[in-house]
Amino acid sequence: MNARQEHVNARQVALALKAWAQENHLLQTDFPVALAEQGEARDVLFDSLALTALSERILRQRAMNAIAFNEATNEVVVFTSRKITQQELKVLPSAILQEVSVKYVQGGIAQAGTPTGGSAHGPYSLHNGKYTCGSSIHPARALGAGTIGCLVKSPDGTMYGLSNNHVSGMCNYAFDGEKILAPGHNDITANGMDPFTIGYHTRALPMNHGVPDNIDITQNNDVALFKIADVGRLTSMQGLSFDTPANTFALLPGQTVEKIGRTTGHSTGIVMGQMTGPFPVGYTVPGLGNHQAYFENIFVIQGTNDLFSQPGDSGSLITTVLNGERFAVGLLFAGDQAGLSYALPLVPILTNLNVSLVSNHNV
Amino acid sequence: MTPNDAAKALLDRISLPRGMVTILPWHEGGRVVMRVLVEKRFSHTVDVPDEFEGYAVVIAERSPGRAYH
Repeated sequence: MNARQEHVNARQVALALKAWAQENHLLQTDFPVALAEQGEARDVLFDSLALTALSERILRQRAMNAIAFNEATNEVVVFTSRKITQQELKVLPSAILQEVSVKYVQGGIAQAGTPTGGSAHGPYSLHNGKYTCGSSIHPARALGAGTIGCLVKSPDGTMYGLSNNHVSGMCNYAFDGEKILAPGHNDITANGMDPFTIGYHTRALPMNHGVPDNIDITQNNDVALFKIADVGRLTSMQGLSFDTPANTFALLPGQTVEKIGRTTGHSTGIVMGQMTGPFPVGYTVPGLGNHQAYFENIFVIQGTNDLFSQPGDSGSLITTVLNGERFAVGLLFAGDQAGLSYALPLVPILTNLNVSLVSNHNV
Repeated sequence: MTPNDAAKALLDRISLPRGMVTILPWHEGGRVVMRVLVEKRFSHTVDVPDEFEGYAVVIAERSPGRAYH
């Protein structure tokens, strides 16, 4: 598409839109579009799509699946995993250069066989070139993808990434210094960013498998730390949405909460209750089979408009806004078949690890 | 009695091996219902009242959570 052309057709707009989406990690594909335009012409082209930062955010949250075009009707169709609301449609462009109309349709990707567990939403974000929290990570030694919840620091100033033990700690089987990869394996694609070692496993809080009648599960928590390899490559931003808050608050029933995660991106939910008594959570340990650990401090969250979380979101930091100020309250780690999400309270986690939240880092 | 305190008291009343029942005070629409989640093999033997300390009580078979790998 020549950005200076007076007339454009649906195919050209679809190609430009797809290239823009790829460049902004909104659309993953093994068959990337290569544009003829470069440099300033490319910028003009993307500007002509009239996609604001708010449009980008909407399309990221609704998860673009595919882009189609119809030359007969001069129309482009953008398919998204989640339905775009009427309010959001007022923001998104309905036509490009007043010639090609754009429609937004909720539609998935046809697939046969076993799903690969890919992210319906862009699995990672870069803020000013820095890797954000809420993005994909995984130990290099095993296939998978989870989420880096936040950055924390110890009293001596050393910076760590915080996630679940079953993500970066490999359910107690990560060695000291185990390399943690970013993005995780499931999210390394031909046209995506080069993976890098984001950190090295350092320690985890206790997470003992077995029934409470037999072993002590009172200290069980699903948390691990990995020492950051290069603090200059990261930011404390939670995706592209907001900075990790500096302060914490208790996780409580009735709170409206948010999280940024590898699979479902930015989601909101309500804390429906706190479990009393031990509750079992199943795990798969790479190469060693399935285990079950019991926890006594689980909070249950229900998504507001959609699922609050899905597999791959493990490790996401959960926040709430009180009187206009954001606080960190929990860590996501599991869910159930009914679509409920399970979280652990953050305050005791940070206390037990003797670390504090990192905020305003490369923001 | 607060929902959490009622849940603890109700849990103490239930005579099952430790870890075989979890109580979730479910907050919705300004009301709290005590959901008694019981391990499947004990679901037919557990004995709980329909109401406890002013909260309605419902029993359900417990499905374990799954870690979001």
